Amino acid sequence: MSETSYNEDTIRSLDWKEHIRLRPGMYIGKLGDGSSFDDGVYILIKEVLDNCIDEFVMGHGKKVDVTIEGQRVEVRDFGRGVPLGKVIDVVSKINTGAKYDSKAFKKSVGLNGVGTKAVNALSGYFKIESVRDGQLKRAEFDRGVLRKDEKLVKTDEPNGTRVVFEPDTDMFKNYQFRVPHIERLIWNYCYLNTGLSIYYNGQKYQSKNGLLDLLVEKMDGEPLYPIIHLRGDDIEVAITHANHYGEEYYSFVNGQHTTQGGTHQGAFREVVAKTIKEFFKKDWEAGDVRTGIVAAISVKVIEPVFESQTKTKLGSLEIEPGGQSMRGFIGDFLGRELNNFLHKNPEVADVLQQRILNNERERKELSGIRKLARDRAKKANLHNRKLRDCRIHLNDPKKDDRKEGSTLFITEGDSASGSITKSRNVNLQAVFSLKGKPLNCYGLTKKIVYENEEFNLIQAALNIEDGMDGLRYNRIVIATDADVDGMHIRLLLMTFFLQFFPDLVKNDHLYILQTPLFRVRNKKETHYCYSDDERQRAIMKLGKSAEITRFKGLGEISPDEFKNFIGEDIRLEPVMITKDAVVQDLLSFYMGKNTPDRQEFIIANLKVEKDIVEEKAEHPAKAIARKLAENEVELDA
Amino acid sequence: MSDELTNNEETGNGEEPTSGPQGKGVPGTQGNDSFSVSGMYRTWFLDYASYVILERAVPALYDGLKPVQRRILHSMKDLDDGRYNKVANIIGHTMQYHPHGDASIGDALVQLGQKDLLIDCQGNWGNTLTGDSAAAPRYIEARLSKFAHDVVFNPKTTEWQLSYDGRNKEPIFLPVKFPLLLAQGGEGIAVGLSCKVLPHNFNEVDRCKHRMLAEKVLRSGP
Repeated sequence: MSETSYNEDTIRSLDWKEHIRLRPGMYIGKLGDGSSFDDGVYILIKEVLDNCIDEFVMGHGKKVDVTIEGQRVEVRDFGRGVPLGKVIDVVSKINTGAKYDSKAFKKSVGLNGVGTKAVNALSGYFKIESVRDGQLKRAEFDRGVLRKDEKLVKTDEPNGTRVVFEPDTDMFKNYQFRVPHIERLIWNYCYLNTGLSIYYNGQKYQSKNGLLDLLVEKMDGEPLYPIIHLRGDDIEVAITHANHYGEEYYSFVNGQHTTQGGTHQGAFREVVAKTIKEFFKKDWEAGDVRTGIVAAISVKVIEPVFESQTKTKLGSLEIEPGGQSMRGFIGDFLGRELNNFLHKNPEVADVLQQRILNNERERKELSGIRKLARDRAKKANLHNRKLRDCRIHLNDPKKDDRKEGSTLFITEGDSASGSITKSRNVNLQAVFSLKGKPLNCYGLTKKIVYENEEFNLIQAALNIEDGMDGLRYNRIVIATDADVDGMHIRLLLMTFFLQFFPDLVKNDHLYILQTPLFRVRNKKETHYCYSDDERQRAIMKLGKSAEITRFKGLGEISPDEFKNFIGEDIRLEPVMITKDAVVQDLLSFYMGKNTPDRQEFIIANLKVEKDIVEEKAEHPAKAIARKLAENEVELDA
Repeated sequence: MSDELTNNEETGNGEEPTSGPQGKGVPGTQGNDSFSVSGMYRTWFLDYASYVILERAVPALYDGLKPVQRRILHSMKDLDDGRYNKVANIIGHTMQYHPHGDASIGDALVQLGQKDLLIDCQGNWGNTLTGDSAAAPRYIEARLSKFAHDVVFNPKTTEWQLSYDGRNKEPIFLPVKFPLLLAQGGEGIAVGLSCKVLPHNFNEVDRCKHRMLAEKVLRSGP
């Protein structure tokens, strides 16, 4: 029946680097282009840094230099240096390492002897240098293939290892390192390794108080009470409450940021609520105790078990093989330390109790209206008429590699949703169409999420009423027109998410869809341009006779064209909270009541655009092209 | 006030204007990085606010018109042949200059017509005093009034700009020979700024205009 035969010849054994390049997902998660913090290019940096950290943890080398220029990454530690005879093996022989028998390295992140090999295989250029006692060994690779194997030379450099690599552009298409993501990575190392200094492009990153610093850095605005910082053997926690909805956790295992949590975070959540309830001897709902909590936990585990090579979710049930259970370990520590702390600091306990009682009251207030909304939501779930759903969701119980790709497009009006619906990938891409502009929800309470039908339907579509665990789509993409009203809708939606679901933004689920601003085409070729630069390049290429269309609305793009913009080459701008402004200030300034400050700001920064007709002889289109070339008019002329 | 999209404007408008240095109290001004939330808010907010102030909600002092009204008048002049035109046709023609919905243009035209100054109306144009609304655009007709012909247009003194798609040209301002803003009044809520000018008695405005041109002393008072 079938033409394809299945015999001895079809069975293949892949070379290690072939396997890594064929199935990069097993080693570094997704590939990506650097727009998201968990894209492969950052994992590569992490894999290299992990080894430096392991050196530091063992007491060697308090300093790590990281230099990133364009696409080249250089990492230099001042540890013991890789043993010179094995330099080539450790980066190009899979399953090679010193971290198997837990003697030279205890409680390390590196486990399998895979990380640096993956970096090597996925880099267009890879160089390793190891210095030990005045001798230096250097080797260079190209996609995992050894290119240069130099003899030992003498050197004055201090001991340590230097790794230089450039991610392979064949694997990582159009990637770009984004500074906020890298800073976040580096900061996490600093928080977890007090005493370590990392120099990133010459700038020093260092943390004195570990997780305490982390919470201070991550929090918007003031905590309700000074952060509780507790340290013990192999465990460190920091806890506080803030004035927002939702819960925020940062969890780490052996210095690895477990962004998806896992057993330690689960146990921590449970135990915190239990300990606090026991301290106050009240039978509160655990949810009320935790609403508004911001906490970080770091544990050290011998031979941790992760759910994948990217190590973002801990699976270990015990803190060491055959040892105490994770829950018991964290429970004992918190039950003792947190309880003591609250006894010693009654004023903190008071504030905490206030917050919990507030939470309880608010929840009860909401419960009436919530019931009504839930009835409505039930109907909405059966038929959410604003939503065209896809087949695979992030929260599906079934295991599916594609779940990470599940995407919800929130479109402006029906004119765009038609095209997306027709050209989307039905398995992974869902569409939610807004009607007109959503409400400006700044300063309103959470009640509005239930009262406003549109918000309620968004909440139901995302399934985030009870927290982020049920989130149905990995990416929520705001797809509005590229005109001014589109910009306004973006702001209104971002305000909605930042106000009521900040976790969604913090965990990098929110994106803005970039659609092309221009189409430049002649009879043979068509170019879509996302910026003025690209447009000019396209005009240069196609000549002056090219037809230039400016897309003002998504409705102008036909479904067949749209396929290109939401397919493999989709361009997404992540919405990232950075440290230069407190989100609450930002919202109240831009979306809140009009203030003299804001008026001044608008008046001082008004963007004026006029397109005056000059010499009659000039064709209007030519005039625009000329002006654009001279940068006289802004894009939106 | 004449656009379907202005219904959700930010709350709180019309405080007293102040002036001062730029960027006082603006959160996140040092980070103009467009990747960050603060950068996004800054650029998009300014884009939107500038557009609403300059191109949508606030009438120009020079001719007393908002862009949509100016475009309606300009396209009525285009279409003008002395006879009444169907409002629906005028709306369609105005769309060459005004890249927004037909409903918003229609509403703006009806409001202009109800002021009974520039537009000669035929059919049920509604009544602002009783609150009755106008008949649908396919029923009613309009043409420029004699006053408008005399006072509003003069191609020789008009400066032109390209329309949004570069295919046509439209006036930057209409060379109005009359303080139209005072006679018609104007009202608009933009972002951060708003505007309200009450309408004035046509005859009085006209008399004042003459006195001013003759450089006579003017007194104002209740």
